[in-house]
Amino acid sequence: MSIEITAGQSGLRARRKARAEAWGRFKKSIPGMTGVVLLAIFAVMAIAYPILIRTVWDPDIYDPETGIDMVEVEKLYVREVTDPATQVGRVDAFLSDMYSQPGDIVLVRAPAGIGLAHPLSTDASGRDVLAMLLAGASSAFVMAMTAALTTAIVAVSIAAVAAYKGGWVDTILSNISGALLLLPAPLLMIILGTSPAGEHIGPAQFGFLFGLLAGAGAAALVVRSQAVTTMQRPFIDTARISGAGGSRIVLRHLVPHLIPLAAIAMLIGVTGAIVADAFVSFLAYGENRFSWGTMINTAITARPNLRTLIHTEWHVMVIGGLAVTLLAASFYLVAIGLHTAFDTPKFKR
Amino acid sequence: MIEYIAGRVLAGLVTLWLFVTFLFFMARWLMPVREGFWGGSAWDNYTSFLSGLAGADILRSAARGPLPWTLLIFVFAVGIAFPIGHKLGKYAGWKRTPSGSASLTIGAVLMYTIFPPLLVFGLVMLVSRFTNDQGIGFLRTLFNEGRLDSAVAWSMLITIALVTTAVAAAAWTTSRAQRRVPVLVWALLLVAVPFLVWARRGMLGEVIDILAYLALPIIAVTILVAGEVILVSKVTTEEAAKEDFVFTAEAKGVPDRQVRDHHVARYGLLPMLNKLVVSVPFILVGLMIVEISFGWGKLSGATGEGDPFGTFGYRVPGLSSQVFASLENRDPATVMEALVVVGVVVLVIRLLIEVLHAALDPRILTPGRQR
Repeated sequence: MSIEITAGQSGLRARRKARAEAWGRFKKSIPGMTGVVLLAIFAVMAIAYPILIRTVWDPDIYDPETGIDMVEVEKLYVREVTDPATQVGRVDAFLSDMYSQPGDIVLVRAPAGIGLAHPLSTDASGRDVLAMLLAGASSAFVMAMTAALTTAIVAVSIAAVAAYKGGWVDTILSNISGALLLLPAPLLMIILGTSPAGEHIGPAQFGFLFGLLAGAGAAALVVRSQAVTTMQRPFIDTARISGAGGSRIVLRHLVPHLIPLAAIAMLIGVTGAIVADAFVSFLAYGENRFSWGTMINTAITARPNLRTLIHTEWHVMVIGGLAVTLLAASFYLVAIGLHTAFDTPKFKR
Repeated sequence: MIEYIAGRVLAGLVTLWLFVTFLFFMARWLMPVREGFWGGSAWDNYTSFLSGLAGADILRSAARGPLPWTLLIFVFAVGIAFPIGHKLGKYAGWKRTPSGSASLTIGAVLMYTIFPPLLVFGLVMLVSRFTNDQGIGFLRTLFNEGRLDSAVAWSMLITIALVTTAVAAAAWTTSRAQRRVPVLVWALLLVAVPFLVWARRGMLGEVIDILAYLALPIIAVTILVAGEVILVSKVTTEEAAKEDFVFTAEAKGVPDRQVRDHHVARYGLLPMLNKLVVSVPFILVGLMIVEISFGWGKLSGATGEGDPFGTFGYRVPGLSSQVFASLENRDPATVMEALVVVGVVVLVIRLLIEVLHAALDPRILTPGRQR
């Protein structure tokens, strides 16, 4: 009895030590820490919006969908607009004064520009870009987290069952994964999202479906190969001989060895989910909710002419696109950090 | 070798059948359709769908239409991104790269995860700025004047495939004969010979038109793929650096650079091929997203005037346009057809990589004796 207790304690201590060492290696990995910092910033952004809109920000101005901040500015009414900052064309001039003539100075309602009230400026219809950026963060974050957890759980369960049972169960499961790999989860989710069924898919459901597809596809294949090698290691036989049942072997002995790899696979998989989700809303499909994709879409649709788009509205496109890119990148960077942390060197020099 | 290839083809066919069945289920119960589209029982639909596929009409019509453009973008993007990405990944993964290894890694991650519409927008913006808003219009006239011939695209693809095989065979023979020919010579041959062939056959003008038209998507996809290749190459370099022979070489005092370039990077090429097999479908998805982003505006009806060229005034006539046009028209049969074509393309590319792998590393051919 006493021997068993000490063995358990030393095992616990060894595990703790290994964990501390892994964290030490993670802290030294610059990409990994960059990812953690970025993720923290996005988490703060997701929390900040509901607080700001309830306390400081006036919903009439800062609501991402209905809030508008317009000011009246004087502009020159010209036939052909060459400088949108100081000139307006026929339609805008008529809105202000229908008797105006080309050459007149007219008062036009224009979006409030960059300033203390709008640190990231406003888009063509006067919506605050910072408010839109913060408002889009929470749904993207919820989606990414659901996708990550579902991917990991599905991948680990499929891989563990396939490796433990072996034989025809393994053959069937890995063949299904191989077939799913032909059509990766991001593309499937884009197709689902753009079909009318997509209107009922919220961020959490999107993440869940993505996790099912990605977890059963690429991630399961990667984790399965690790599970098969783990099953061949001596401690599994030891556990089996000492009378451990199937569920105990899988849960206590097999799964803990799969978790680091599953974490890496899930973090890399999430990048696809983020891009797919943003892409669906960028195409103006999917559930009717505010997201970074919608932000870019509405900013562009407000200026269908490529020339004016490039010269006046580019900042919304760039800010929204960068937000999507950086959120996806932060998950990938954390995955690289984890890879460094769990990668034990062969020679200790 | 033949047995191995036959086995891989058979496994590929099984995968394809599973994939097609999965697609059928998805289309039958998830995709919305016009009233009375399916008719009959699910089993009848399934068998008629399968027999329709067996006729391979889908592949033939795709070959005449969108397939060669997607393949051309893929071939050029991978062909440019692979050597560059492998070189950069080698630096990022080498333990004694003095500094910049972390920033290279972060840069590669950003290249890999960049939101494709942002990338596309940036490229269009650059072209417009540098050509005084004329560049995209010029590309559009190329398209409108019918200068893009899919027969020419196919002969480009075939020329590239033949020249690559010939150069690879020549490289293999010289290395067998213990003659050292610099890699640069092979690379130059690989680039120059196709153009000489095209010039000789009098189709250089058409080829240049096609390349000019596809240059934007090729650049965009190259950036995405290069990010992925750098990351994969970094990991394989790190793995290869742990091998015993690296330790031996260092102990014998082989210079650091030589160990990195000759011992580690070359050894890392094979596992890299192995890993890229998994990436092929993801590269294709990235390609399709880029294609759609370029033609954006038509799909969401943003421009409203029925302009088939979208907001950016440009479109790629590739596979993805077919997928999304048929989604709009509630026509799951065409969506499925296009997706089957994607699946077949992925399988064929995967098979090519596996055969290449087996040719480079014959250990694969003897099962049970793998390391």
